[in-house]
Amino acid sequence: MKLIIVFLLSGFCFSQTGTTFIEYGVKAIPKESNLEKMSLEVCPNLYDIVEGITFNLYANDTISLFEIEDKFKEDNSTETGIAKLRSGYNGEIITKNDSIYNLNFANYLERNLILKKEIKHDWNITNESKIINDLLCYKAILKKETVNSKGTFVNTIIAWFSPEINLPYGPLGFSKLPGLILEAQTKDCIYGVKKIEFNYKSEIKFPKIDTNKFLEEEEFEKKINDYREELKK
Amino acid sequence: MKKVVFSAVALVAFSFAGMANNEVKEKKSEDRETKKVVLKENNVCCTLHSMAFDLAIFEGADSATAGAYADLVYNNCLKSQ
Repeated sequence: MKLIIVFLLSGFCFSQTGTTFIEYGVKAIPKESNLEKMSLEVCPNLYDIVEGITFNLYANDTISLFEIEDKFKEDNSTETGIAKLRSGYNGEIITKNDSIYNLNFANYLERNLILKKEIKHDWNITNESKIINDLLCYKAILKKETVNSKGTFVNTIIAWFSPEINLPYGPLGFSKLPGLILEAQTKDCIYGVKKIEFNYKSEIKFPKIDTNKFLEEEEFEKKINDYREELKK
Repeated sequence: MKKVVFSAVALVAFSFAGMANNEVKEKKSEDRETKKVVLKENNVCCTLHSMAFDLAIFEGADSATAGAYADLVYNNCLKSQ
């Protein structure tokens, strides 16, 4: 995937006063699994659809918002739905302080649910570096744990971040590195920066997090299990 | 065996020529029979919801992702009715 980074600078350094806008592209990593086979049977051009999606990250010193581009937000087709999930995306992600808030991820259960997760990003920053579009980036590795009813699954996340851009954020809520993540690889896909715009001119309204509708992960587990039981009746 | 099962999941869930549609065509005119077929169709979609959820969990998805996959399968099954 060819990545193009365009900088709109307001000064001589990558200072971030105000909101920075980052556009990411994504590419699926083909894999052998039953879920993959099922997805491809439903959507044979899944990988092309994934590659056609753009994600936006809006970030300032205290908060970031990661979301899919506008034209896909209201797209309820099965193909787009599968492509979103295949990209690791399931609703908007706000990163604030030491928490991640996932929005619009389970509207079939209840609208405006917000899932709160603590950020457990214990990155191992290596000395390995590479240039990504004129920016020196360092490699960081994260062993991300997912716990579900079948057990604990550990996935390796590889991120390339640039200390020259002082924003500790990236795609899919990956954060807490000493610089912006320009490239991130999960077991399913690779995200890469396409565009960065500092002092983004458009007004960004970060979604208000309604504290009355927070769910911790355990609460959500119970909610979805109750929902599944209801379906079976 | 697994391949057959999961191919069946995809076929039924997403094909407009799937099992649910065939059952629609076979609907009887009597109310009692119609109710049985409707329940059967909904059970098919519910079963597919459950299978898709379990499959995603088995492959390491968190509950939110598994729920989203299952919801896609379920809605597509309903649409095909």
